[in-house]
Amino acid sequence: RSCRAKMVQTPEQYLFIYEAVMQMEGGLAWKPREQGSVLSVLKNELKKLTWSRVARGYCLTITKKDNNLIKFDGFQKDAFGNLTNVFKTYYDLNLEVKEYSLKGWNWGQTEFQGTNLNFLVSSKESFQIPLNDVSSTSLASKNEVSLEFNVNNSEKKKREDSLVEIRFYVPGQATREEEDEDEK
Amino acid sequence: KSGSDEKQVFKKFESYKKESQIPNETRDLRVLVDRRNFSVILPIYDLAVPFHVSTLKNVSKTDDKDFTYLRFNFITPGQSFGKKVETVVRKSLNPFQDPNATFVRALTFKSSDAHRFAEIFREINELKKEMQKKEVERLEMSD
Repeated sequence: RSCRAKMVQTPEQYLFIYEAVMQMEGGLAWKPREQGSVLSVLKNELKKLTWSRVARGYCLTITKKDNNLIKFDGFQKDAFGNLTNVFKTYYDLNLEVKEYSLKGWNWGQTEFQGTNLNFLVSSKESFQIPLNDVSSTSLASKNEVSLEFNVNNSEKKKREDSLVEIRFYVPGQATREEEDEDEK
Repeated sequence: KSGSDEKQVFKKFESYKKESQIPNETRDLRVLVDRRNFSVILPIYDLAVPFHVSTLKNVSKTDDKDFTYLRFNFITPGQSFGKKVETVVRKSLNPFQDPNATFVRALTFKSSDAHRFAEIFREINELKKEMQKKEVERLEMSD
């Protein structure tokens, strides 16, 4: 299971996490701006730190030793240098850069990773789907698989566009010739 | 036609080369149309995922009481096209040569903003037409 924490992209909050990181040699902590408890990860729980471009700016993903993930997004690009230094100095960990595919292709490979389904284009991840959010699956036709999602209808989410369904075409063995026939 | 001619005809398309080319508006987690790069950018679980219009077969729109749905249908094997499109698809889509690839065939999004989705629907259809015209011209030139 993955624990998620969202950081809103205000400069104050960025400063907060940055200062928090600076002050905590024993680990990382994040305090939500509204009420809520402080989220902390002890230094000896840290396994891997990655940095990637996501929809809301940049994302810091903390992989804990128990393989749980904590994600903070909304970072500005230039936070990378500071965070790299802090992590190197205090935790002796590199902030690894993870790049997603930007090719814009709709073909590739699927791969299961924990509870996620990853879609890779030219061996690079293009997107990932948390299978916990899938409400139903069906075989729409011989080579077509459909996944439907639970959509959160909260006020905040209403301003965003939500993915409700994805369909994959999964090639079967020995179907290509038949398809070519169909098209004639 | 020889192999080298085919190679000339086949043009690899790519939405973006580097992250800095992606528009900042992705932070709203909404469907975006990037005309300049012939791409749509779709919000899929915290990521902004580009799809080049060349991979799009068509888009359909449905309205119900509270929401509008946009369904993006992508080009995959096992579909039929019009003759002209067929040529373009066969010549420009390399993946048909990889029989083991999995394809994203369709993605459906919903929004409570019917007006914006109608606008996106119109924009994508225009962009698609523009792209097809360009492709057909290019193929005719190379014949």
